[in-house]
Amino acid sequence: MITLNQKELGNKAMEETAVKIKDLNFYYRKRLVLEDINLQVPHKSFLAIIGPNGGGKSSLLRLILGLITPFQGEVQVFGQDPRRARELMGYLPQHVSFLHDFPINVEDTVLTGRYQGLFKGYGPEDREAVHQALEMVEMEGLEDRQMGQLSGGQVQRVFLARALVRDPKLLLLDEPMSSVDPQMQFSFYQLLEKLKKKMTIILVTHDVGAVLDQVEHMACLNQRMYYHGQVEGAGEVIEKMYGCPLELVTHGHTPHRVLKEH
Amino acid sequence: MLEILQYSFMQNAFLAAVLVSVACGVVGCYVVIKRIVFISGGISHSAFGGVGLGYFLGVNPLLAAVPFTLLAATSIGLIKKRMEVSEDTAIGILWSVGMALGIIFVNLTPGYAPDLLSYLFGNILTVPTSDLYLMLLLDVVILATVYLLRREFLALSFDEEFSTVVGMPAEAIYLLLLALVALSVVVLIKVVGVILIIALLTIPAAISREYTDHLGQMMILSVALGIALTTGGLVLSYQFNLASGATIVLFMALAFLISSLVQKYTRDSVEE
Repeated sequence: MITLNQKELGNKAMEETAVKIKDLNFYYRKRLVLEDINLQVPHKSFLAIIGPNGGGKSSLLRLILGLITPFQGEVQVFGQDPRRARELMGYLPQHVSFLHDFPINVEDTVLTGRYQGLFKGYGPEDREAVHQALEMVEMEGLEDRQMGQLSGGQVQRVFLARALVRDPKLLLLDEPMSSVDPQMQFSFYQLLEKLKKKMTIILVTHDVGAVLDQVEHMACLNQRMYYHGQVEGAGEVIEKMYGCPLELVTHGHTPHRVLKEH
Repeated sequence: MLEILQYSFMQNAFLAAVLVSVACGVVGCYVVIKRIVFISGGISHSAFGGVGLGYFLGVNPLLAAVPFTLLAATSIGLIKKRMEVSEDTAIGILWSVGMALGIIFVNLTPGYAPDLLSYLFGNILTVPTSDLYLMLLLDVVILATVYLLRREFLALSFDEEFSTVVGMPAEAIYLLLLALVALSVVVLIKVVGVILIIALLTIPAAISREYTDHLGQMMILSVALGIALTTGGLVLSYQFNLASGATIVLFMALAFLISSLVQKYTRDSVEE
């Protein structure tokens, strides 16, 4: 009995960390992209990683997804190798590029997010999940629309639905604000507010001002991790690190926008 | 008109037209929507190496082309995925290496290679019944694979990275898709030859794309179009005593041109 309890405790402890990165170095074409990265993201927290373009943000997400492997160090997702934890992850890529004459409609696109394995078809419950995911991103009723006929913002929403339809425990968003249409922006933040109660969210962006009201933790990444902690502390860090890449990426937002309202 | 059906070579030719259209209609849709036309061109030309190998070993060239073309397709796919060589370059190399190997194999074979030209440019009138059986078998394999893996092929063609993220063995599925291209190439060799194959893998699917947004319907339509255009080309080549492979290709290209103009005209009038 005792061993069982310990096992349970162990499982629980493991579950509480969504992402754990230890001493990670990553090279792309012989260029050092990520250096000495250590990161621990508790489950059901909301982390924003900010940094300039080319600072390694997308690479970090792709490492968490197991699409690429680190040169040195280790990545764990819910205590597992990322490739084994894929069913727990939802992913919204930065570039929502696809061939615009590709014959596929919105429903079938989101349905690919429900993929269960070879020879396993999609059932009515999968279609129901697709419907709900499309509702969440306010795209219901457009199931039959061809992907090529959507606006950039709508494509982004469909791809967000495709990430959510898996009911992931960890949601990875790469520059989600880059092509969200203005009328969606507000409801997008509301959606994140709702989602962060259910899942861990890691959001990567170069636009600091945009999301910080919901974000609990922040990390500043430009090859190295410059800051990782509570958002409240970040303002001082930004002021201290005047030459820090953070300043480069705020795009004219004054630093006080980064601070939470007290 | 119907009297040409009395000849057994003509009956075989019509059967070949149907078998060819199934392969190029189904696989051609993936070739067109995933934009792997150039890679498919490389695979079809490299098939000539297999034909040459067949001559050299004294077996049916079409049979020898099956493993050879599969190997070429897998190599192109793996080089693209694993090596730091651009896909263009890999295709260019395998394209010509396959052809060169074919020529060398034929050189090394004692005696005269009588219908070598028909493997280059095709001759639908000389398809023996034994080859029809092989083509039928390959069609069945292609159809079964596409049916069983339709979800994977669709997801992979649309968004390769995301198909990996949801846990598909994306590289294996991609190689399998190229393997299907290789098998279709073998089905098509006798009818249009390695040099003209790419027309059949693209034109029927490209025309169909204009008329439907659904991949399954697109496949059915392009099989039907393939049958109509291949037999149409066959009849024309018989009437005017022209090379059948080239006539079929030109007839298809004409259909594509007309279809595009019709589409453009109707679309413009809708917009007005």
